[in-house]
Amino acid sequence: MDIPASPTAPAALSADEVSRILRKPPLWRRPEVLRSTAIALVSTVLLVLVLRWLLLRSAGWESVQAAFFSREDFKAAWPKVWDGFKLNVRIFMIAEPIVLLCGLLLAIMRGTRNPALFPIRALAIGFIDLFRGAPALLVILALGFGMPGLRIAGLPSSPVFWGTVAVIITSSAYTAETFRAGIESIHPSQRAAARSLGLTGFQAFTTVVLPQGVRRVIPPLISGFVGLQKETSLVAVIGPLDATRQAQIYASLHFNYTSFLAAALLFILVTIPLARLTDYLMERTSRDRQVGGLV
Amino acid sequence: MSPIAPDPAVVPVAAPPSATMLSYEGVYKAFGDHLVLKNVNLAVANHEVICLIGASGCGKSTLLRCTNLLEPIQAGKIVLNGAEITAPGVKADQIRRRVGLVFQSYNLFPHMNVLKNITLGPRKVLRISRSEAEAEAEQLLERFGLRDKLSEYPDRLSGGQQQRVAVVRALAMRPEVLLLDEITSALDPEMVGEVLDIIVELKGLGMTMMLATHQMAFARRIADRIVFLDGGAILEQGDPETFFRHPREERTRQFLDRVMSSL
Repeated sequence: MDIPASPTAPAALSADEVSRILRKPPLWRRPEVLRSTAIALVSTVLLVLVLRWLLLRSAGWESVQAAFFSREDFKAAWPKVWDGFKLNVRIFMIAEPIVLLCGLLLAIMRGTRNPALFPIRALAIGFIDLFRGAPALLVILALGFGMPGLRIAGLPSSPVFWGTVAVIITSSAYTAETFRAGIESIHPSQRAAARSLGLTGFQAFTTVVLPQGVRRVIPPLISGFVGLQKETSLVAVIGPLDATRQAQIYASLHFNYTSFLAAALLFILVTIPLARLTDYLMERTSRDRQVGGLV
Repeated sequence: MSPIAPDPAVVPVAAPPSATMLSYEGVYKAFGDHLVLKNVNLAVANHEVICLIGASGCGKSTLLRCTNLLEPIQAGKIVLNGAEITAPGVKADQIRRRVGLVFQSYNLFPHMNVLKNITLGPRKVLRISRSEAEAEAEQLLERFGLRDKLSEYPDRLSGGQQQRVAVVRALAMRPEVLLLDEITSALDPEMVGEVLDIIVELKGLGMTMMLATHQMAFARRIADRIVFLDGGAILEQGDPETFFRHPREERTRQFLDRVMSSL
């Protein structure tokens, strides 16, 4: 039986009209994109103008500007601060790979279920609890002044060495928890599938559970990189001349704080790319999980 | 039993058809204080296809998982090709490779492509070289119409394709017996056929299989024997025709009425 078309039903779109719906113009040609960009631009400019006006009419602005935003002092402080920053980068470059390794090891140790390995598990839990709880600054002070104080032959006494060790220890504790979250997020059926094929528990873990778990926590891991990069500046409290310390020295010698601005700028410049990388990876993961539709 | 054309590429060289492949003797399984399997006694002949049917929670899946030693049993024994696999001291990993298990939710490894999914077991467990394992995997994929999916990742495949890959993954270990745990229950209806076709083909090749299934029509078509589980015990069993036409037990009749009327 033929069902009569409703008299109010509009005619179907022509193939041409359908293709217009399907075709996506480039970003800059879409009216909705242009509109939202314009709005964002106007509101940003407005905000900046308001803030600027507030700053300029404040009574102390002139002196603050001279103390924090002096072009001459920036130039004068830069070489030393830059020199110090190289130490921050060096500590970071040495610490980060070790942190990743130690964090993963701690997470694996903590995840063992075999009763015979309980001491290992207890050790990992104790370590993580201790160094996630203790402020990094205190750990740096304790190791930096304590270890050389033991005067054990062959043990390095350099503050850079012990500062780095302290940073590694505290970051590892955090990183271990990140890894553990990833490992535990993998559904037990994955392990069951691997075991059902005859893989040993260890093989199932290393080939099936771990690779998936690590992949899931790459964004928070990179976030951790950012944290570690900043934490290297704490090492200054036991003496090494890093960017923060150099800035501090300049400030106390010249009664001008622009050097801090220089140090801050360097840290920010390094962390921004890492932050954008995290954003990108997180967006990609969420896109992957949305296969089949947005809602 | 339908004529069998054994294929050594899929089914390992077999014992005489009359021999017992797998047997359960007084098997009990408990989860905490809940008894899931109660005194299960069953012998599966070589090349035999058994369909386990029964309401959800009757113990079908548990029986299969116990056979693959993913779950320990509390009493009784399971014997595979003459050797008790539930005896203390038996290495579970060495038994699992001989007992293939396919899951309702496929459980493919999402971070590996199809080829890697299939060759993982042969390479890690059977210690076959990579090139050899890949060649065998390609052969199996070809045979089951999945050759072109070789380098795809599971999330790019339809449910039916994923489940077929999961079957091939189990087959790649050359299991002596294949256990299929409601393998079509998670599939869209139009994909059930392609998965069941593989099972039919495997039966033709002489694979000994135990299927937990809710597909009564399929069970009737493929099974050599239907085993009806009720509350963790085998209540009734028999060849499909007799079982579906003249169920002996009242409980069986009730179950079949309920299942058939929902179709």
